[in-house]
Amino acid sequence: MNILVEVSGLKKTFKELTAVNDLSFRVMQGDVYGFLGQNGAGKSTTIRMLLTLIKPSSGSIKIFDKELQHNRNAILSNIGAIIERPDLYKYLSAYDNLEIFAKLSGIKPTRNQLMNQLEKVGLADRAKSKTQTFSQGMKQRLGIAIALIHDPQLIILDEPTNGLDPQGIADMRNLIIDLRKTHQKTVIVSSHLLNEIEQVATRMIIIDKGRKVVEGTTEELFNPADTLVELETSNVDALEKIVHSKWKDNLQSSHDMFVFKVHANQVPMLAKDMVDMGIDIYNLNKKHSLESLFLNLTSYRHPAVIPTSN
Amino acid sequence: MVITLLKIELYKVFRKPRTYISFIAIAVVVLLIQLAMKADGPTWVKLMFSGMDGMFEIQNGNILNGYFVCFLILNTLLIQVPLLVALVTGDMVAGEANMGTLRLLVTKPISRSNILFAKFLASLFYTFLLLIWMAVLALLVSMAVFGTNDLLVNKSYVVIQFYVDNTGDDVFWRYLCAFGLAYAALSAVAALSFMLSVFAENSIGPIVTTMSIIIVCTIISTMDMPLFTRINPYLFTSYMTAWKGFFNMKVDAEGSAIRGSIYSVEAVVRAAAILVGHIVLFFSIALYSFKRKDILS
Repeated sequence: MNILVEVSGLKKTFKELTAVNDLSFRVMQGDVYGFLGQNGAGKSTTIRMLLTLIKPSSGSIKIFDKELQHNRNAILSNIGAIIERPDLYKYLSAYDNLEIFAKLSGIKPTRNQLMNQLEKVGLADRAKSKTQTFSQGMKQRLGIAIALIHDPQLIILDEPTNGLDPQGIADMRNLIIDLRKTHQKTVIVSSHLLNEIEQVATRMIIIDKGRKVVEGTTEELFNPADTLVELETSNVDALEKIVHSKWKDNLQSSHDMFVFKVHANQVPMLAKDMVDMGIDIYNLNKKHSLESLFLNLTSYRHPAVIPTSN
Repeated sequence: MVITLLKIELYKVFRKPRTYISFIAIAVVVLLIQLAMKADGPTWVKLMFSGMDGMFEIQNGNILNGYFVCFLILNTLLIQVPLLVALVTGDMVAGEANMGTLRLLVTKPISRSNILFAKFLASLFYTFLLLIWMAVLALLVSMAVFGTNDLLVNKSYVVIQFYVDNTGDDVFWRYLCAFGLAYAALSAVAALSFMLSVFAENSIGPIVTTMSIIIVCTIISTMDMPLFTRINPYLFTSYMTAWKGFFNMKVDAEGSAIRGSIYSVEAVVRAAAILVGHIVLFFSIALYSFKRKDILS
């Protein structure tokens, strides 16, 4: 597979603050590359450097095998982006916004092309409405239409689910999967929503305090033998039943709820045995393995505000 | 690409409601002055030129003519117009930073220099249209309503008469030149607020700062103190009313005004050069900063 993005020794300092420090990573063609880190870890700064919004203090960025610094326009003509929230001219219509950004992307779209693009994101009937009347979800869909109008090879999404409702988040997730599978696009997506990244990323990087903590494919990063399962029940004798069962060695905690450490493929068996033992299951939750990995590897120390999904 | 960008910028400028505030404000002020002149003009003119009865010989005896009304309007309005210019030009970059669209704009395959240059051209074009609008209303409408005749200009206890007679019109060309120089002055204001706009995240800051700078510099210009006198020639605000230089004539050895002359061509050229110099300086600073700016909004 071709290397599409190659970042080496990237550093950015703002006065005394080092936001990104000696960061290196590679994004391969066809990847959905998850960019993970807590707030302030340096995700957005890195992504803004990829998009030339921020000038690196040192290091190099190569995209499509070209130095970004010297081939800015050629590279950017093949990138579509949404940065945190859709940026739109609120006093203009959806059609006008799309047309303006299409032209700025270097294409001369026909009316049919623009309407087709709006149709794809479900906004054709609101083409002439000013975007100030749009909901956050509609703005995000228009932002996607803008990002994809020039058929870019690389799509960069910085916190794309910010401000979206659950349906919007699900739509975004499906879009990312569709972009990779159906359209063979490469996507870089940053988020603090671990669950979202876990569901779409083929490879990912976790950064902390501007430095890379770990990078790899999902298979490389997660050990299925370390899957945590949370179980809620009202049975007062549940603990006694469990400690006398074959699952007693897998039990990690019995405070508030039972937590088992099992192999991912043992989860159905665990559920079946609990029912067979007469334990009523109110809730069985396979804990996000990415969350465990994230907490283990980063300097996050405040479980009360762990940034999980939703 | 700059042409495409310029078209886009102009489209955005003229789709913003705030753009039309300036045009409406100018129309209201000009029409109010014209209405007042139509109603009470003769009395007002009589008071203004009292004690000078019989000193001037104006054909048809019409001092209150279109040229006079236009001069009065420009005197009143060109002090306030900088605010109207800054209203739009101070929003050119800062407004986009505030909306977030600047981020998307800068990630497009266009150089930052071209983006800024197109925005600056759009600012200058807006200023030009504003001045044309003012010229049409203040000069052409006044000429149509009040007619044309000799122009009397009261200048430091001296009244200068510019003739409009069978041998020609010595006023109209002066207005064309005056509007040209006023355009340079307003463009300097536009360039200042545009430059400030590059450093700001919302448009209020550049607009207020532009007006503050103009007020402070104008105060410095009017204070006759040695320190300020040395600075004054280099302040663009000292040339905001340089257009009046076209309404002053040379006199011959016998003390008679030389028709078709300008009192000091050098002063007018110097004013234009300093204003253009400020425009170039302000844009250069804006460009230097914008090219190096980290877009964090």
